[in-house]
Order: sequence, then structure tokens, then C-alpha cells
Amino acid sequence: MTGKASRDWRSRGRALAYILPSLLVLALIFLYPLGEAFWISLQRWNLISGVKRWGGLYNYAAIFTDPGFPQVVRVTFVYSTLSVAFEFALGLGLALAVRAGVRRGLPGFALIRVLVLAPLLVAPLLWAFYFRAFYSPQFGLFNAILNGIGLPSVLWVNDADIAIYSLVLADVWQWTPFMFSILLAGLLALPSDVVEAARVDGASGWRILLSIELPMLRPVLLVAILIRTIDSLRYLDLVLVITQGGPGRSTEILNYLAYRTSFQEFQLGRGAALSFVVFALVMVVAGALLRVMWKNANAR
Amino acid sequence: MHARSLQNFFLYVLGIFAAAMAMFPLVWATISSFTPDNRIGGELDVTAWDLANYEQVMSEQDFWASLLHSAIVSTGATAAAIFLGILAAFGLTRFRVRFRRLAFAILAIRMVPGIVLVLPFYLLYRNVGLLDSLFGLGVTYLTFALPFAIWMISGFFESIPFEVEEAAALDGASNWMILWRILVPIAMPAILTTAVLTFIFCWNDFLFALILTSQKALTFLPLLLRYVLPQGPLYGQIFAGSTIFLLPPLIGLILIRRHLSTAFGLGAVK
Repeated sequence: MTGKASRDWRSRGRALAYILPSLLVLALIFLYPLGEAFWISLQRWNLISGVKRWGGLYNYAAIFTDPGFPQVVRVTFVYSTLSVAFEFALGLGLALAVRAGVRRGLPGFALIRVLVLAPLLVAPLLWAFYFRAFYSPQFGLFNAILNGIGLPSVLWVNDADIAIYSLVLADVWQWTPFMFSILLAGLLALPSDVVEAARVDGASGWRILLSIELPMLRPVLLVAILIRTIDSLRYLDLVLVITQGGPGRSTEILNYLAYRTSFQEFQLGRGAALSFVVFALVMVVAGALLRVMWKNANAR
Repeated sequence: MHARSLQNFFLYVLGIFAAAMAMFPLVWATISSFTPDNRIGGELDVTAWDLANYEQVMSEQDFWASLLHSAIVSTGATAAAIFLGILAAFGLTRFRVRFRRLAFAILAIRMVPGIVLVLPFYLLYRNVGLLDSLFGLGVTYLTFALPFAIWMISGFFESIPFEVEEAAALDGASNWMILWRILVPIAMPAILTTAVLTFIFCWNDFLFALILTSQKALTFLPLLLRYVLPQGPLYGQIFAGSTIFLLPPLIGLILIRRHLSTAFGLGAVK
């Protein structure tokens, strides 16, 4: 082998040759649809009447001046914030418990660690059907349980005041395991020497957790929270299957509004503009996520 | 000593409660699918086992075809994503020039919401005749499958020391051979794990399938919507379908069970 050959061995051009096929595919399946979606969002286009004409920023203006829009923003905020907050608290608690169980060598905890992941197996659409059945007013399991212990029935998803919280419950029930698995992996990857040193110095378990482990885990906690926030902003299935935004508009989250506008009302321009609002929102959170991961990756 | 066993007791109570809660909806739906349809609801009568829901779902006209469509499109998209992902991960991580920013850009586009993409795909496919085709649907699955595969496999490749391939390179092995003869075999368990997770994402997709297919390329989840009648869903049939639908992902996860805990956490922790 000549010196020239070995110098070429890891050249930039050769690296790009391997990356290029993926880049071409990604360019085709992202750049074109994103450009097209933006173009559509600038048209006033109703598929039913067939009227299509240039609208400029009309659709965006119409979205933000719609008197119902603040309500949609509020519902989206409540849904995402509550879901992610509960998933985080429960996921962290469970991760700490399972880590303690595994560390103490308690038999069965390896199995528990796998079993709690079960909801992640279920397609979100099917999960939504499970909970639609649970919430059914007359025959639903939840009301049967309430009645069984002598409590009155609850209109889980038929009462505009509580429907959104019922959706949050279904969301938390499915996605807490996701939070749990990320947090547990982070907890188990913590270097043990610092913790050991603190323990030798007589620090209590809670003290170690709060002032050493959680600060060290901060990037992982942030990543887990941001990923779940992004996913919850993109989520559709629960609303689509269980409430269709109702009663009234009490569970109409932004992503569902975009779906309904495009594919049920066939106002394509307005729907595309709404999907861009979702996109912008997601990208703001994604920007924060990537900053954390970038700092994290470069700190190594 | 006494305090410790009390703590252990509480850990077990918590762990078992969490596992029971996690398993509950799945187990309940599965048991429900074996009971007569009119009983599905509050109480379960486990003495009345019945396969009627399964018989009805399986005799649905497009049942087997839609299951096959789901399998073909998910397998095809996964295979394409893993193949392209292996190449891209090699280029991103194993050369002197590092493409960190590019890797992060690829991760960023994975977060683009499906709702933005599905409408342009619908209009494009309508014009070029790809509407209601498995190929067209599979291409849209690459929007989430390919960035995921690239990111995961890059992470695994990064953890392999460079020394293993340097020796081979000195012996005159080409990059192509180093990738397929050395790196891929070493990373095989991780690649399989990525493949199973990618397959499950495709398998569970609903939005793209709902909008982009109708009959010739009908997949399983949109088929189940036929059981949602104006007066309400027929839960018996839906749960029977969902139980069948869960088997392939379950088998996949059992295959990769030993790598599962690493796979779930890895993307985020690394």
C-alpha cells in the first residue's frame, strides 16, 4: 500500500459517498413536501368547492384572529404540560424504585422492569380504543368500578370540564414507561464513584439523590422531557378516536385542528397553514432539545 | 435490618403495582376479545369464552390482505431504512472528517410532524398515481424510519474502537469490505434491535395509512375503523383485531429482549 492510498483511506469524499444516498432520499421526502406544504398554506383552497386562489398570508392571519384560537392554544398547553409533567414525575419515581430493587438484587425486579414497558407495545390508535371503551358512560369499566365501590358515575369524556383530563390520563398511562426507560438508563449510567464518596462521607440517600445524582442527570432529564413534549404536540390518536375534539371544542388540540381542517373540512390552504403552526411549535422545542444533546455530545 | 426489609416490601408493592397497571389495559382488552360482544364493557364474564369476535374479524373481506399489506410495507421500509442507515452511519462516524452537525440535522428532521408531510404527499401521489400503493406508503414511512435508523446505528458504530478496522485497512481491505465484513457483524445485535423498533414504528403508523391508502394498499389499522359504526365502536371485533395485530411486535421484542433496555435509553443518554 502506498502512502497516498492510506492518506485517502478516510477522506471527506469517501465519507460523503456513504452518506449521499440517505441525504438524497431525505431531501426528496422532506424538502419537496415541506416546500409544497408552505406553498399550499399561501393559497385559499377548498377541495370541495374546488376554488383555489392566491391568498398570501391570509390563512395565517385567519388562524390567529379566529376567536376560537386562544381556546385551542389553551387546550394544547394544558394537554401537553399536564401529560409530560405527570409522566416525568411518575417515570422518575418508578425508575428510582426499580433501580433500588435491581441494586438490592431483589428477585423479580428484572421482570418488573420489562413488564412496565407493555404499553409501549400497543399502537397509539389501539390504546385510544382501549380507553374509549374504559370511558364509555353506561358500560365502561371505569364507571363500573366506581359504581362497584359505591361512587356515582363520571362522564369521563362527555363532560366538557373533565374530558381533557381523561385524555391526559390515557396519555400518561401509555407514555410513562417511555419516560421511565430513558430515566432508568440514565440513572444506571451514572458513575458510581462520586456517589460512593458521598455515602462514605455520611450523606443520606435522599441527599445524594437531590444534590448529586439529579444534577448529574440533568441533561438526560431534559432530553426525556423535551422528547415527550415534542411527541405530545404531534399526537393525534387519542383525540381522533375518543372525543373528536369535543364536547364542544374542549379537547381540540392544535394538531387535531390541523387534521380536521385539511381532511374533514377539506380547507387545504388553512389546514396546511395550521400544520405549519404545529411544525413551528415543535421545532422550537426541538431546538432546545438539540442544544442540550449537542452540548452533551461535545462535553465527552 | 428490619428497616431494610420494610423498604424492600414497599419496593415490591410499588413495582408490582406499576407492572399491574402497565399490563392492565392490554390484558383487559385481550380477555375482552374472547367474550361475547354484548358483554364487553364493565364486568368480564370469564366463564363465557367465545371465539365469535375472532371469527368475524378474520372473515372480514380484506382481513388477510390488509395484514399482508402492513407486513410488506413495514418490512420494506425497515429494510430500506436499515440499509441506507448502515451506509450513512458508516460515513458519519468512521472517517477522519466528522459530520456532527449533519448528524444533528438528520435528527432534527425526524421531529417534523407527520401532519405537515401527509397533505403534500397526498397531492403528489394523486398526480403521479402513487395513491393507494404500497410503494408510495413505504416511502412516507422513511420520513421517520430513516432518520431513526441513521441516528441509532451511528450511536452503535461510535462505540466500536477504531483499532478493529485499522488492521484490516492496512491489509488492503476496502472501506466497503470493512463495513460489511467487520463493523456490521460486530454491531449486528444493535442493528437488529434498531430494525425491530423501526418495524414497530411503521407497523403502528395510522395517519399516513389512513390518508394515503384506501383499497389496494389498505393496511390493518385503517381496516379496523370499519368497526366504528355511527352508534359506536364494535369493541369485540376491534379488540380481537388488536390482539392479532400485537403479535408481530411482541415476537420482535421477545427476539431482542436482551438488548431492549439499552436500545430504549441509548438514543437519549448518549
